Amino acid sequence: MSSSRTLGALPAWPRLPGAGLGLAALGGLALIWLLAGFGAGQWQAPDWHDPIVRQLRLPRIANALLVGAALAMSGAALQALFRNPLADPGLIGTSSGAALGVIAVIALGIGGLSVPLAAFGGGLAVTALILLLNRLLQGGQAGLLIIGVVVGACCGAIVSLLLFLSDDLTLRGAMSWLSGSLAEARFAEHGYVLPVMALGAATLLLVARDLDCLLLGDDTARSLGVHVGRTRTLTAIGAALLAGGAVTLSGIIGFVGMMVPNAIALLGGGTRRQLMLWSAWVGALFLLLIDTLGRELAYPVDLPAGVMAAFAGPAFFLWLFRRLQGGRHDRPRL
Amino acid sequence: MTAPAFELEHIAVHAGSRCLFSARQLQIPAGSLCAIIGPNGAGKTTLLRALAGFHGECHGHSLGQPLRAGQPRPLAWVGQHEGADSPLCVADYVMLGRHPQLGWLGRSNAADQQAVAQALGSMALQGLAGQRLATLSGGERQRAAIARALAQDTPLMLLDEPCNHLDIRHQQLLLRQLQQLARQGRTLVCVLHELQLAANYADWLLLVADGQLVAQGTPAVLLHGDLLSQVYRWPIRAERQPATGRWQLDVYGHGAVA
Repeated sequence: MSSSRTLGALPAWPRLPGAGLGLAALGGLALIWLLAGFGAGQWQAPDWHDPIVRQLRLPRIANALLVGAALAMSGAALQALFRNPLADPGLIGTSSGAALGVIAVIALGIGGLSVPLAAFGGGLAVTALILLLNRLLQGGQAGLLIIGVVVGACCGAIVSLLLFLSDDLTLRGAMSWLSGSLAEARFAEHGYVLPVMALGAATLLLVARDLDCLLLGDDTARSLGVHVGRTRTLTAIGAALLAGGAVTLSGIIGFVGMMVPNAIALLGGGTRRQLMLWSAWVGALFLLLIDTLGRELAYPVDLPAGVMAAFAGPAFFLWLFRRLQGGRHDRPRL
Repeated sequence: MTAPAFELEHIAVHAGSRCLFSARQLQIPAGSLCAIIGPNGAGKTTLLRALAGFHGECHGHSLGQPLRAGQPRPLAWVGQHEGADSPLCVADYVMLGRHPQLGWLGRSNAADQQAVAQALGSMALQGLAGQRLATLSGGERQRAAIARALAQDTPLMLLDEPCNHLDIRHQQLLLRQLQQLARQGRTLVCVLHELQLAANYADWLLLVADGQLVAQGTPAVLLHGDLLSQVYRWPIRAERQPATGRWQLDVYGHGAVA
């Protein structure tokens, strides 16, 4: 790939030119300001004193930014862990596990703090189960992905069973939550979800360099002093904490975790830490963009972000893939 | 005299109850380019991984130090097709060789950057430092992998089939570079499929077959048509050209050796 085609070639983190970083931050903030101005099918400069903006729109924007960043960062880590560009918290069972935890809690009629706890617990338990089964079956790298998909499908089946058995009111509440809506956002929720997400993100950033080594193969990673098992476990936990947080805030939103890191890797590549950070920033803005579109396109109908992502995501990815493919025999890289 | 790179009394690799490889005694001189040769499925990579300490048991000494199970060995490993799917640029990839020296945050200091620059220079990769690994040719990527191993700055370097998928020119160039590294005092052990290359570039050969070490020694000691024909089950003639000193290995006849 010619260097002119890359995101300033995303050079090593300490050497990252301040101008590029500043531009990305400014551009992002400008986009947030622009999108915050949309409401009731029209645009006007956001008035931060307006209670609608303060109490409804800002929490929703924060929700979209947090969920988008968490999903994309989690995806960037999982793609390295599974050595597969298709890995996504929604695909390998992490999100399904978190969703199962939440649906179980909703079906039992328990609310409040038990919802995020169930999401984190479900995500972590399912990830632990995947790692344990893979170790028992000695499935290796390919096994991890297959077992992840199978366990994720099982969780989906149990969720369906729980929904089938529940009454109409529970079913409606659970279905609206499952469709991945960012609308019911409250700052209070962010207070307890944010620290857990931050812990997940910090864990992933710390193991990012080990993941770079792990992508070269287990033997090479070992010769570079990487504890392969520990790195896998920490990555799975970090990704589960982020995905669990995202699921708590918004239900299941697919594709963002798969698409954003791939787009970043296609455009510029870089170390895993760079990919994670860029993915988090771009994922946050991307989810905010599609949530705003969902809110405004069919106003007064508020389309859930999960549905918008399912429509917009694959189309965007195909366009990007085709554009960068442009006659080259290059593939999306991890 | 320098202690041998490996001086082992017992090597055994098992998968469940099945023995994949065993050898009673094995030696590799320090500062040599050693090639592990043998037919398909003989246990070449199994032996290389055992030397690296990745599996099995190895009893003996490496560079004068007793080998202990579970203890990391001071070696650099170059696997097959390394980095083919990596989104890293060459400089960042070579910097991974400094991973054991870098702290938690992975910050590199001047010494690390100098080691990387030197490694890039010795593999003639300065011009490709900013290029993405996935866009390099097979030969360039192999050189980058060796540069990554060089940046690790270890006395031992183990390479699994480094000539795989390289054309004739790149095979020769790569082995010449490996030979040069051995002349500088490093010990390089690699699995090689091409007998001709092993004969002409390696200082020391390990011939393996059916999960056993059949013979070890310099090419002059080990390269005999009878032995090779027996191990490879095909008639092979090995001759050293008196004028050039280069080995010529010919496959002849029409049938397999029983």
